[in-house]
Amino acid sequence: MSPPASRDPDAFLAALRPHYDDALRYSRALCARWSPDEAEDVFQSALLQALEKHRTLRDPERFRPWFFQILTRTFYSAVRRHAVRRVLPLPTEAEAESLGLYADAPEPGAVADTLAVLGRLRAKERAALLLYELAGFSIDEVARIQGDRSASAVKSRLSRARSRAREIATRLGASTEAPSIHVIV
Amino acid sequence: MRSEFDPLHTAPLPDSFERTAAWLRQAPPPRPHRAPSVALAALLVFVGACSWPVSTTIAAGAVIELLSTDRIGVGHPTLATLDRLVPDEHQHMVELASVGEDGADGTIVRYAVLGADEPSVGRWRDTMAAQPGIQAVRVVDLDVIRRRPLGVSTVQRVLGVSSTPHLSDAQLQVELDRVLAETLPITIHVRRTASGERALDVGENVTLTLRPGARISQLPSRDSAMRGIAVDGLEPGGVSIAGRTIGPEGETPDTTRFEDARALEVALDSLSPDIARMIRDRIDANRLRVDSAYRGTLRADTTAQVFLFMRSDSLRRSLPRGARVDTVRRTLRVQTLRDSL
Repeated sequence: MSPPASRDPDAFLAALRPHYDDALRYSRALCARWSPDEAEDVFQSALLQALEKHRTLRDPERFRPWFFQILTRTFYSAVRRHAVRRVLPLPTEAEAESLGLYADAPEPGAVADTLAVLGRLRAKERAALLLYELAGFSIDEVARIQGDRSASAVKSRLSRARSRAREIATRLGASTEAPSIHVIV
Repeated sequence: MRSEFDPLHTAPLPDSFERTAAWLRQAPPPRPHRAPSVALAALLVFVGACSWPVSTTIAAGAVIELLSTDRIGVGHPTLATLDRLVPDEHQHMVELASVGEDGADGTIVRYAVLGADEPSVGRWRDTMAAQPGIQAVRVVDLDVIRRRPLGVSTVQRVLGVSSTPHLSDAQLQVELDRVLAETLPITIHVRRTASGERALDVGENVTLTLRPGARISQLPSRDSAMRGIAVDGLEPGGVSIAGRTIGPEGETPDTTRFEDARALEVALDSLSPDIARMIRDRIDANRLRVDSAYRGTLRADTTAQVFLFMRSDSLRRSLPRGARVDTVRRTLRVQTLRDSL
């Protein structure tokens, strides 16, 4: 099937290029503890949606928060589908071509430990923490990306996420012989 | 704080941009994820519908009501017969009501039986009807209204599961009063107006005026579920209830009215056996309750009629040969021609 003529992949890829690695890191961390296929599916879906909507982006300077917002919402949808599949035998989407964005080999110890903690956070808390800490967005930008009206909601969410991450890290550390998890404070 | 995320910042990434770009150039547009939304909405609607509380009418039992010319008390043969007939587990309450001054005209016995099947109750009714001194017997279904989740109610209905609700004596008394209140008679009275027309008073503030030669086209009613049966082609004659001749009443000399729920028995007694059997079968089959009846000439002809007014299902199905049915608003009229029976 040939791509629709309304797309402009070149322009989109040119805009994406500077933010590609950050977006990929963010997506990997968001989908921590998911299978590589599921995690890659989130990233690919976000890319396709962004490509379709790229012409509607009026201010090219805002490409980064705009794309991260699409990525975050795609992740939320995937989380909902995950929950539904637990009780309903929903049909799965056709297998997309694997791009090998997620290494099958295990992550290095520190990365794996951090992802283990992140993967146990609630989806919205995880996204807020990663948008702020990993992607480097401001509180206001995180609020806009997550669809919150006030920055205080994001501050509260970040605070809760940090507390929960600390508890999870402590618990994971206590349950293993070698507590190598960094406590996120 | 940020240092805790350093491993993520510095973790090596595969150089995948060119591969991603090539894939993106030829990738088909994304399909919206409609299936999960539709399936989730369907699941939520289903769960919500299943838990929606609905009022379910549960058959709890029946009340056998007897009209005896005797004054009945403890130890009376009628009660002894009932006690012998009805197994202990179904006996629940006996209520005695005097008729007439100081019970001079007899006694009404209301015998509540719970959890008994319909054929058994029918046999008990027939047996009691044959007892000496019993003028009339009727069976009033005792239904209990309970609120249950729609899912539970539907599954029980589909599987044919019927659970007899447990009723305490107090609850039984309440239900009994309710059922009997529902079958209270509606006052029906035929009178002639000043202009010479016949008027049928049904209940309070409802009057139907009948012009000579006109058929009943509409019967206003307090109860939208009221149904009526009219049986034409009868010979006028005296009718008695509880040993007393009632009527003629009012200004219409050939009209008898009954204001008592026992009117069915009396009305049927006045009919030919074939017609009475047909009506009783149909009433039993449809689990109808007769509220009141009258006998007389409603129309401006010389043919006598019996009307029975009920508050239950219609009599549409399987009418006997020769019966005509005129369905008018709120009233089902069954007109049975005498010569076809």
